[in-house]
Amino acid sequence: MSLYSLHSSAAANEIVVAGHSHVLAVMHAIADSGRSDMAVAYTSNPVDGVPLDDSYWDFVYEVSEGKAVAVMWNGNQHHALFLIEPEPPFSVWPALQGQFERSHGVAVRTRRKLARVLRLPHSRDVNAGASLVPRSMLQAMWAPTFAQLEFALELLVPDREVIVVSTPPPKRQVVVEQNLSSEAWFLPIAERMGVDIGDLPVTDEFVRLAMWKTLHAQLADTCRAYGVPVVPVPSEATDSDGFLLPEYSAPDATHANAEYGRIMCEVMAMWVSK
Amino acid sequence: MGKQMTQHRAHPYRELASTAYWRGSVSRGEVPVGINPRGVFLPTDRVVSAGSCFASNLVPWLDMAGIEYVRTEQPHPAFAHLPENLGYRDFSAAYGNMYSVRQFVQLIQRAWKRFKPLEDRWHEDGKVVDPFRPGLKYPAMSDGEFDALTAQHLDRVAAALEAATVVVFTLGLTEAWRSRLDGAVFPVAPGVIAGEFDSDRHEFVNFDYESVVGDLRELRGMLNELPQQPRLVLTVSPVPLVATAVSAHVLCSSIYSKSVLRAAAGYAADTLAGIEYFPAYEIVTGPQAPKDFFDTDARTVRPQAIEIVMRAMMGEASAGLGMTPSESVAAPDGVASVRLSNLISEAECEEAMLDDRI
Repeated sequence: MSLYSLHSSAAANEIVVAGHSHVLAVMHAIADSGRSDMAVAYTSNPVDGVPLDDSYWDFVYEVSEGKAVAVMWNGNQHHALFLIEPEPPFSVWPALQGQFERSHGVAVRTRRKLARVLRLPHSRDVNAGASLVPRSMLQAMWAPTFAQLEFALELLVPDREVIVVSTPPPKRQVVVEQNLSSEAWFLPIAERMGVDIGDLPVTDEFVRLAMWKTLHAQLADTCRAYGVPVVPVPSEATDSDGFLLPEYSAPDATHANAEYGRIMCEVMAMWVSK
Repeated sequence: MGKQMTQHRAHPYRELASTAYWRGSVSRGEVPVGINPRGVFLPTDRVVSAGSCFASNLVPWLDMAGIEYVRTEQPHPAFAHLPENLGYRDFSAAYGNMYSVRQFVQLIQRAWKRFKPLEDRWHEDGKVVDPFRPGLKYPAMSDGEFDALTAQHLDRVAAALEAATVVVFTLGLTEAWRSRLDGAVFPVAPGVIAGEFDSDRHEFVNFDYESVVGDLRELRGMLNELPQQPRLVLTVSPVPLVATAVSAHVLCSSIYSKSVLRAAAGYAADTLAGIEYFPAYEIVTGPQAPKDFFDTDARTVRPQAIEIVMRAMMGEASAGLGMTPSESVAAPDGVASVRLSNLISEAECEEAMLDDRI
């Protein structure tokens, strides 16, 4: 049995959507709408999942013959390490320290406990001077995560029409904290750790937004080298600062929902036909 | 009779300490006797160091001896595993190597907002490069970010000085390149690592004795503005020039530079309160020094020489630290020696990059 499947509402389709977990929003949108022009190439078991390695992209190549491919690449690198605020906190341009004075009342001991359990960086006698981290340093840290995108583009671009789709922007602080406090898989973990969900030190929203923008600049640079356009997040899905609107948020800290997926289907269809 | 007359005559040399006499104090292949009996540092010192790449060798010894080395600009722990260039993480703040006193004076002036160089950034390949730290591996991506990162850096420089009880500065070069607009000294000629050399904007300078003394006087004066008035310890780097921009053989230029720096440092230590001179230069380059203190290129100072210098500088605090010179040659796999060897072998100098571009 194949590790991967084509999730579609119809036998024929024109666009294969491929990539990491953010494709789930599109998958749900297709299932809800019965949209027939798109299919999502993903694991056969989205609940457990399998690593999307080179064999996955070989599968995408096979099932996309004669079709366009829309890639939703990763998009959670900033969350993977920094959804929970490290100690000491850091900022990223343009989110300067003064713009996000924290007053969440987070107990220091809770942050240190979390840092130990989650093996996150934590301060010893680190100075306060590491507060602003260069964006190019973030990009250096994330560079290895783009190696497989380059593999995928090298495989697909010569024979396929390819677009790369921006992944959802971060959610507002209150949305993330609210969702974390009710997230089914995380509650038992937090309980075992003895952590009060209300004390979770989520990284400041403007820092997360700055990291997301830095990540997408890196995505754009990578795609530009292959002549592949990057589809931006539509403005209707974001608030005035660029955060994902709550109505498009899945009930977790990082993903968008089927309604967002529906919008992205429209956008992808427009871009493919350009 | 002549010999009897000599033995009983009084003269100025009769009452000198034994270390004033070459015989008995200096022997080939041995550390000069009594060159620094007590060491430079106190156990309670908080040390800031700056200068040429040779200056970074001090740091692991201070760490091992439990003497606080001031660090105000270390990378955030989440990013500490990412590499950095050219010693920007080796000093108290991320200023990297500084080869002239003038460069250090200007850095402090910038940190105290008394000097803002007119040529303060270079735009290259979508990045904004700091002309005074051209080798930084993670430059800013916009002018706004550059301003914020630079302000943060200068703030950290100021914080380091405010914490120091002693500042160690290793004088490296007299030759430098500076802005014609305002005299801002670059660590290396524009165009070598980054930027573009423009003879209308950039000029060569070979700081003479009076200039270096003047800069040392100004440096001491600036440090006196700090409440704790830190001690200033000067050393001269024994590492010869990579290249000279003077129309002379590089050997002559190198000896000239070191002579100027040594004379200026000595004069400053003799005449200005709060300045000491430590003879690292003499230990490594004096006629008593073993031939194997330098590598076959006659420029790279070997680990055993650095260890001897550091032990002399640390004085009693070095007891029990690291390895003896003979052990460091025979057993390089010990933690202290590997660390020291790595630090030394990986200590990059902007100056050394000149070789690849000639």
